[in-house]
Amino acid sequence: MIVYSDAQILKGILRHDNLILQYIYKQYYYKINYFVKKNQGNEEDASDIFQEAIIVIYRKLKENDLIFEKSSFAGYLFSVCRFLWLKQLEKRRIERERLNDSLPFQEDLYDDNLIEVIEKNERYGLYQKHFGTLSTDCQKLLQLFFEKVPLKEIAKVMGYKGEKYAKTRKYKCKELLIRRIKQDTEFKKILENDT
Amino acid sequence: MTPNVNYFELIEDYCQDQLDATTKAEFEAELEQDAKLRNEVKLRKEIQSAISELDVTNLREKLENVITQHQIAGPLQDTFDLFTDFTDFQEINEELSAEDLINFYDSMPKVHVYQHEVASNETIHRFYKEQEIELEEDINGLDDLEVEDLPGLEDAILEKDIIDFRQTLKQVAKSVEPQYTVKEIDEFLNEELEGSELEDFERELAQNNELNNELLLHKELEKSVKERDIIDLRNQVSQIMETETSWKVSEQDIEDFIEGKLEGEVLSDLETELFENQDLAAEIELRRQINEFIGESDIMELREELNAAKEFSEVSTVRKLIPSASKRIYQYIRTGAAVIVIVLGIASLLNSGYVSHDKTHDNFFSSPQWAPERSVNVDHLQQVKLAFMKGDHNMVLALKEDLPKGLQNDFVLNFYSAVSMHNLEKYSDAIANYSKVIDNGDNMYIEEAEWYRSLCYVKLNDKVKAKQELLAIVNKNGDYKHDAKAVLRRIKFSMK
Repeated sequence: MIVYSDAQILKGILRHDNLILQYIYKQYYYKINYFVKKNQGNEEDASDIFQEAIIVIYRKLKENDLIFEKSSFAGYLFSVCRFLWLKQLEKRRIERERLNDSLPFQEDLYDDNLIEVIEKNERYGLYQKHFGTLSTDCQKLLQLFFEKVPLKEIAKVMGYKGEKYAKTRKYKCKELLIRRIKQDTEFKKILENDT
Repeated sequence: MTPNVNYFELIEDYCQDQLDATTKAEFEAELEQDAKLRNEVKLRKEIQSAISELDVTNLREKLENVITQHQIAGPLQDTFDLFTDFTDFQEINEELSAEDLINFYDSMPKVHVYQHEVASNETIHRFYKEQEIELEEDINGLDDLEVEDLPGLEDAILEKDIIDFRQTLKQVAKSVEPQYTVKEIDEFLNEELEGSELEDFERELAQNNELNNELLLHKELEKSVKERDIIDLRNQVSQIMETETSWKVSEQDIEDFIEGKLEGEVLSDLETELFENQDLAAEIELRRQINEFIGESDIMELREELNAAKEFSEVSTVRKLIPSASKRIYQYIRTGAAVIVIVLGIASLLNSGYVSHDKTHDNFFSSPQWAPERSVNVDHLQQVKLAFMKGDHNMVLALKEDLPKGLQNDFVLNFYSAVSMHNLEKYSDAIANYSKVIDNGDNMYIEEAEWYRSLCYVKLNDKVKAKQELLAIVNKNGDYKHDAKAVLRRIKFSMK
């Protein structure tokens, strides 16, 4: 099996390179899976944690805020996964004290910026999850609006009879999305943590 | 604020409304001018009122009795513990005149009046708040008490008004719509608000935290929806996790490990991974089982012999139909008779429906047994497996619907749900699910899925697809080759 350097891995994540993503999955997922399962999680939790850790790293890369001085990609990935799982345990009111730490993590990686990115990712992930539950029509409409496509154009693309209808429909879609987000218990927990 | 002793009698009479009209008028004139006197009169009235609060005293006593009867300890005790500090005081048994009371400036009635003024109601409510839970539980027991003897007790315990009011407040809070609608917030964000509307909004924004949060949510929502790259990456990672194996060792290493050929660093790496990687452990176990199965040479030989015997019988039948040149005349007669017999036979078979699509399908379709060892995600499939083994195909499909989306694409699930659909005669749905298994491209169900799919096409009388599928099976030279040939032969007669 080819061994990729940290630089190649980071570049691969930025480019969404399938080979690199497969490599990361094959190399490291089982360790995260083992850690989560040892600490009161299941297969699904492990998948979520792994997936979100990759997204957090991608966000950091996009912000040009990821340099491994004292760590490696593996160390960073494990540290992010561990932090994400600790947050989950906290939300589930499970004590951290009895944590079975099988991941080689580094405490000093938990800087303010990482925590900020993780929290942002948590909120945005939730919004995106609910956005995905909207009808394709609503999703497309909102995307066009957010991309500042002119109303006339939107009405034409979506096949609506006029701009006014497009605007009303957009409010309805957005209202539905916001209602779903607010009803989500995860969102309530996020708000509780913020206050 | 020492009271003027001369006024005591007057004050007493005035408070009890026993002064004659003239004295009363004079006293009231004095009262208007003399602030001290006014205070004295006020104090006197309050003391009277406090002393005359017999109903409250009675109620408290009776409540004590009720609580003693119900043996409620703990928080209730705490409330009455307030009185423990007063145990050092000597009880006054003799009757006191109002005059004596006034002389005791810091007397208990004054303390009571003060407390009563400040927080009489709160004290009562606090008491019931502490007891709310216990009293709710014991509320049925109150039926046995002489509630009618305790005026207001039931209401006080139930505090219906407070409960109702609290409920109303909750409803009001629920029913009150946010001050600004999604539309208005959107208009503000898109800079479409103008004039007084804009001013009002901005004024509200400066003071209203909730509106600020709402605005933040709208902004973040917009940004998150625009994050197409993140959404795509998440989907991509998710897909990889569904389709890829989650171990880093190569297939060759796994095979070598099973055969005991692996050594050195590679072996120790694999063993380390094996300790934490359950998927790898399952894969190794699966491969071991397959090896054991292949190793059953006696069964394999028997199967080969059976196939050989079958092929031989088919070849003999064909040979018998081809006449040899030396016995041509004689055999013409035999052949003619044989042809007639065969034609008659085929005709009767066609009439009896033996080679109809339905019969062909039914003769060749037999529902497979559940084989969990072919699956890695055994845990998730446990329930589906049980339903399938019981032959409850409707349940299999219902359970599949309930599984998380990620699992629904599992090829094992797709295969067995396709078989369930097949059994339930939902052939088109079954074809779609068999196709998913085949399209997955890397599993042990593909050959079976192709075979069963071809039978579905036969059942649906889709000649072209059935033929294509069956020919492909024959060409693959797999386990179903002979069966596929047989079906092809049959449909040749029936599908004209």
